[in-house]
Amino acid sequence: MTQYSPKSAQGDRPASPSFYKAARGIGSWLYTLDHKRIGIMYLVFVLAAFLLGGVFALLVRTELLTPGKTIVDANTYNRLFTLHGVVMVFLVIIPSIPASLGNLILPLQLGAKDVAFPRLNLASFYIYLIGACFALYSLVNGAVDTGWTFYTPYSNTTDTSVISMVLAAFILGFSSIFTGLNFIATTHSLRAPGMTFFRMPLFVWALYATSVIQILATPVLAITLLLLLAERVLKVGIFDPAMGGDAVLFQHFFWFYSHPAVYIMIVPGFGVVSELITTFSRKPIFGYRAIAMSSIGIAIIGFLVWGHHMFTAGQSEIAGMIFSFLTFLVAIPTAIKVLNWTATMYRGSIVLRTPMWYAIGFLYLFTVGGLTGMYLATAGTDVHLHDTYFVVAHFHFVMMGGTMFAFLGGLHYWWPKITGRMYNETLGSFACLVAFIGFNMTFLTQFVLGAQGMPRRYYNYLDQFQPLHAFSSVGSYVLGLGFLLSAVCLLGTLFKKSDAPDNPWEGTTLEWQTASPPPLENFHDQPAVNAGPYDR
Amino acid sequence: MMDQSTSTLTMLPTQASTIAPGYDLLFWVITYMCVFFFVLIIGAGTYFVFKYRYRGGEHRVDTNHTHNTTLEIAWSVVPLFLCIGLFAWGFKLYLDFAIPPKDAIEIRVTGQKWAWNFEYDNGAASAKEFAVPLNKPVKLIMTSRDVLHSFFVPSFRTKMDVVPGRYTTMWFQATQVGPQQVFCTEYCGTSHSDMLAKVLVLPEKEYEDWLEKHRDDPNATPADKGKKIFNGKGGCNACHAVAADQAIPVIGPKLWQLFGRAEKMADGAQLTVDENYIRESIEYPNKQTVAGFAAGAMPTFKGVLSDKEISDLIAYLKTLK
Repeated sequence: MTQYSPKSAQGDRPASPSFYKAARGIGSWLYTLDHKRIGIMYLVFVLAAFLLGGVFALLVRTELLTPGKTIVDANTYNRLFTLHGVVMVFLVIIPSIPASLGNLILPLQLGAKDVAFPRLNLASFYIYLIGACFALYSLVNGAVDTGWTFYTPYSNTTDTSVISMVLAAFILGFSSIFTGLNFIATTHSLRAPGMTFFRMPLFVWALYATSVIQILATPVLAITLLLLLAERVLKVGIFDPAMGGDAVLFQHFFWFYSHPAVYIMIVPGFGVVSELITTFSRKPIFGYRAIAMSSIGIAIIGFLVWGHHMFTAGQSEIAGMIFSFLTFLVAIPTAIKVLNWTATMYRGSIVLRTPMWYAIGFLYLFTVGGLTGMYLATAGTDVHLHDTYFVVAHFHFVMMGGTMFAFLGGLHYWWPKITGRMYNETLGSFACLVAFIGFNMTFLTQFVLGAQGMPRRYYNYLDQFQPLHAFSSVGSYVLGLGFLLSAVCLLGTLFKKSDAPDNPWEGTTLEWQTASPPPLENFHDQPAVNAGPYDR
Repeated sequence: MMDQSTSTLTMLPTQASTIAPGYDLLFWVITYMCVFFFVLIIGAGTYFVFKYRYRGGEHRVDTNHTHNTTLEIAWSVVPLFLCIGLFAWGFKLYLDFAIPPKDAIEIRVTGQKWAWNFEYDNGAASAKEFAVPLNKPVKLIMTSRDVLHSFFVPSFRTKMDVVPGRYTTMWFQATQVGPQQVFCTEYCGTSHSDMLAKVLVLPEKEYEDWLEKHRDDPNATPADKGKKIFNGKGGCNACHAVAADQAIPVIGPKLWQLFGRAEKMADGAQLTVDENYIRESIEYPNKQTVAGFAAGAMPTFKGVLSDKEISDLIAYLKTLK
């Protein structure tokens, strides 16, 4: 029935060793050019950074249980929320899906032996490690208290360890650019015979769109951070009015990267969810072309909306108008995706396994995150809500409820493919439920706090906000517990025998046509394609 | 407390400005739209999950519903029109915030770590709280002495960043007598969350009295003038305590019994506080900081306070026993 299959049928494939067994020893990992091993190394570090950033988040929430001092002083609190932001953005979310799952799965989905530039891929990983070392150096050297946005002139005057942290972000940017370059080249040159662009899985489309943003936007961040260093170290006045600079100029530079970066963070999640929903609905995805094209649309319009972070920064009203309008435009392709995913489930045969629960959780959380974006895109209503907890809640719904739920969904989905092991389905689904409940307790509350006028990045707050803050903090513990459970669920499988079938979810894309885990060069025979990725 | 009528679960604060009712209307229109679309999308999703969930046996095979041009165009175009409508309404409101009436009273606002200062045309000055007349438009002309700040009055629904090296403006017309809470909403360091102030909305007569009370008195002694600068233009009271029983966050050194006090400096040196050390600390605050206090916490007042004002301040500090 399905025509999207390799030439050799499932059963008569000669046994070749998995990529784990193809080479042994620590050197076989440190010098590996295998995209799967690099993906796994990325995965280990991303998850470790996620744990670190999560601990910072829990400390922040614990401090906010009461107004004034709960566990730490104001300067420590300011460092904690900064570190939470920097670690989560630069070390976790940006590399999460592309560098770990993308590296592992993209060549498999394309039917390729590896990425186009395996050495560049390994270089990207080591640059990531060097960047992480700079971040750690800053952390043990007193850390930074600027917020992850490094706004001038504060970042120029604080005596904290700004330079090493800015260098960390600068270096991590190159790792991101290398990955993006590699994925674009791989997508163009290494598709299996017969795989036209419109026969590529949507995860590939999403990574492709992400890569385009990565290589176009990240250099702007690099320039901005270099200028910041030039100002701090060489005392060249660029952003600090005390030296003749312009403080708002930094915000333009910064958001010119960091708004597209929001799409670097969420678009790969769209790709994962597209895979999950079609596979677990046992049905071809609804509106394949619309979903693929909307990723590209988001990538293009996403470059033109940065000024919506600055409605109250003193920019001209005309600029405010244009940015508000463009922000609404970028909402349309996003809405199209959500509607397509919902329509995919119509008349499907929905199998409710752990990855699908994450996908359903994503749909709910991302819909809330997207809809609440309307308050902020509307220039007038943004004035009251800007820089309050409303914004904090909105971006956590998108970044955490969106990207991290998609990431965990993808991790559970491809876990059998990556490790060759099945996890406990009950525990996996239960962990997802706990995280979902905890997430909503933590962040739904913050929409109310923000609308009431609670400003963000506040160590101390008025007594009237305390009940909601305390509730939100308790929610964060539940959320943490959920993630802990899923860690137990997944890591527990490493202690048992390999038991995963090649295609446990009846997926239709190429990665399910090879062994779990795959052999060194992915496929025994070169797969060929003569139908769409989700045709059954 | 910001306002007694704001309970834990009220979404928006009290409406205390002319713009607040219009703001709240748009806020609630967006909220109802969000609820409608949320119920539509998530309702449909939940129904599909329940209705079409796999119940064992053969999988349902449906390869027909993969595309529907009419439906897809409809769900692209309808949100587009809604978005354009919201955009236009929101921009109209944004202009209402941006354009002050011509007859607005002007008040100059200066932000600095971590205090707000207010100056009026008649020379009146204050810090921590400032008065505005009821039902009259007021325009704030704002700038910062050090880093970015942002001036936010939730009950007026208005906010504007306060930027060093340039002026930004915001305006409002208060409609409710009483104090309203001001927050700093752009992160500015250690005591960002204590950089608060109050807008005192007063009836016309009381407003005039307040202005008169906060003017410079030509017969005042230097120490009196210094005290005014301390609590007003200089905003020193935001970080420095002047009496043992004063409850403020410990940011700068205490200033009572200051003269002749032996202080240990951050670099280990000992010095006795005199006029020259005070002057230096006002103009070059990071040159010699007292041990236990962060360098960089205090902004410079060089060029902000005149020689005369600094000597008045010193005269005042000498009176603190």
